[in-house]
Amino acid sequence: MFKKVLVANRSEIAVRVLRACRELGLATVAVYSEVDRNALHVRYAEEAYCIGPAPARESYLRIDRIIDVAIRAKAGAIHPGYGFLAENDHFARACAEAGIIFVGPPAQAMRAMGDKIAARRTVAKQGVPVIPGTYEPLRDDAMIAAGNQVGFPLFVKAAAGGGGKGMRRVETADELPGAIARARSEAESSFGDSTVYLEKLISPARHIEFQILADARGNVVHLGERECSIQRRHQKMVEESPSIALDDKLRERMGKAAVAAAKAAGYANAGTIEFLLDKDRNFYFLEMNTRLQVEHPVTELVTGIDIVKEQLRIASGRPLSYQQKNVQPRGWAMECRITAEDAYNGFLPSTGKIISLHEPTGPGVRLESALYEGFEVSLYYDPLISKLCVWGPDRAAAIMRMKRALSEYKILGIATSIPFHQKLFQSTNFIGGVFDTTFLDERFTMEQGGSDEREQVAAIVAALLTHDRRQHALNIPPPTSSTRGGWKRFGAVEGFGR
Amino acid sequence: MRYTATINDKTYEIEIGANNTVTVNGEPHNVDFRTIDGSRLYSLLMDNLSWETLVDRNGDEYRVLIGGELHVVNVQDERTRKMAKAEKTQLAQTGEAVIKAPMPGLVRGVNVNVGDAVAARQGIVILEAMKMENELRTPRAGSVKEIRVKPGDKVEQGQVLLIVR
Repeated sequence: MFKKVLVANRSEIAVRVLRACRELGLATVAVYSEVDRNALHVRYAEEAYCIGPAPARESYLRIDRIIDVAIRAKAGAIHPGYGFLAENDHFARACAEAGIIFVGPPAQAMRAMGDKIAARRTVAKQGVPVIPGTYEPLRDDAMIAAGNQVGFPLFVKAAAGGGGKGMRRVETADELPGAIARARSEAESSFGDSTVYLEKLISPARHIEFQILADARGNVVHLGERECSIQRRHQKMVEESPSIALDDKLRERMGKAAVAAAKAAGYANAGTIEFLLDKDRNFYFLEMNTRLQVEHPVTELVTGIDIVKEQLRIASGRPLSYQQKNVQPRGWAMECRITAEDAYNGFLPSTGKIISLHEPTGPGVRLESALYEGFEVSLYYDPLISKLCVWGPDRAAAIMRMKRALSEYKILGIATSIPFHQKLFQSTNFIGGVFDTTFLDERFTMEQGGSDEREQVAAIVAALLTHDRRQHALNIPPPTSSTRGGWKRFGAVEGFGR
Repeated sequence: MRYTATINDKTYEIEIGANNTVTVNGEPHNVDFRTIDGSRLYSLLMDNLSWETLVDRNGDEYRVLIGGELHVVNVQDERTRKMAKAEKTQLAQTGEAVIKAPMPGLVRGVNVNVGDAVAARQGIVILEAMKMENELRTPRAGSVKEIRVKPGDKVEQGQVLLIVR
């Protein structure tokens, strides 16, 4: 096995990977942008190298600089985390050319699944159900004709797509030509590839994905499903494993389909097969993510398998140490993605310095975080700041535990999504498992207020603080020449102004 | 000291007394209120019930987070309540606007002269009352017709200070 690993990422996921390396006795190398000099991953690793200015394009996306550092530091492998270069097959190739192991799938498997049209063809050949739509790159006139066969509403999606870019929802046939044109130009500017395809809209649907582990010898197992239907504008906010929507029979069928899809792609390492599950419990292949996922901890919590360590073992050429029958998930796990977004202000990004931090702990709680007091949350990177995960013997216990952990979690200095998560975990629909991917956008609102008792407490707290301020104000000497009001003067003295 | 806390259209009359007593709409409570981190995190023990709150303030508006719930509270004390009332009543008048003292106090400054043109809500008289400086503002635009006080004058509640037409 290689002896030293470079982690080409930042924030909580960099720390997560560094932890796995440390536990495997591997030496560690961090890379960082100029604004991340003080970041936890830089201090956690044994070596750290600056790779450029804050914008990701000039640092965390610089393949040349990262490879240079790996060579200089004599790292045997590079783990890309997720995001940044994790699904970039040029990066995987550059690693191979430099004689460095890329901790992820082979470049050709990444490429095969990265092209969404090719992926649809590949998995459909194995008998895996695919969302009805088109399977070949088509010219506009052929695609418009195909639209009528697919049926409306439908999606136009970019073949090289992801993250909602180059994606258009089309309600009627007359909207289709314009939507194709716009999706093409968006896809061209985002991915440098204007190829698009059609996919029927499946709604209502749940987003269910299966975690895959595959070794280089063709052994593939799945680690069960994750329920990821709690999404806000296509961004996952809460994940859990298992899903309340699956029974053992359906789980087995979907798991087999996921394994078949991974095998068809010649896949190795960790990956995720995403499915949509409609209300009649039909499932459809959506896409494959050829990397570690943000939400991998919920699978780790129920299976007891450390996916990052498995990635490193697989990358070093070792075979899987277990078969499908050895994977026995237990209990229920949930994850809240804590973001630097103001839940009570339209989820606007919130930036600033963490002035005080109180992290949840206790039985069954796992926090994936790189926050510390003094850390500066900047606008340069993803708003995800930490992941709060819990395990419980069943779903109800996991929900109660998450509520408990959320109430302990206090991040001061920026606004966060924590109040959103607290409200969600009080929602009867969520608790009852009655939701699909449209739930957050269509049937959930962040309303102010709540219980009368808390309202009265808020009133008293505000009155006490006003009183406190008044008492302080009395001790300040009277104004001399200034004509500014006493309030303003006090604000200036105490720095109360926001 | 008495305060009025308003949340949406609900009001709480809160009297903060000595010995950790707070009376809310006539009901007395025992409170122990502490800052935890010196900035936003507060602990309130009220009749031995323990509450933790995160608070942001903007002027007289407090955004109080408790258990994921956001409660937006506006607080007025006697002084700010009177000031608000004074501006409202003066605003309702037509013709000459008579600026009266909303409470007894000491004139600290007069920012205009007779004949000056004034804009709506322009600060014209500084009145020190209840140990705070209060800026009295014109209810509407016009010109200063008459000034009846000068800095250093003690004034009674309701006393005419200035007339704008």
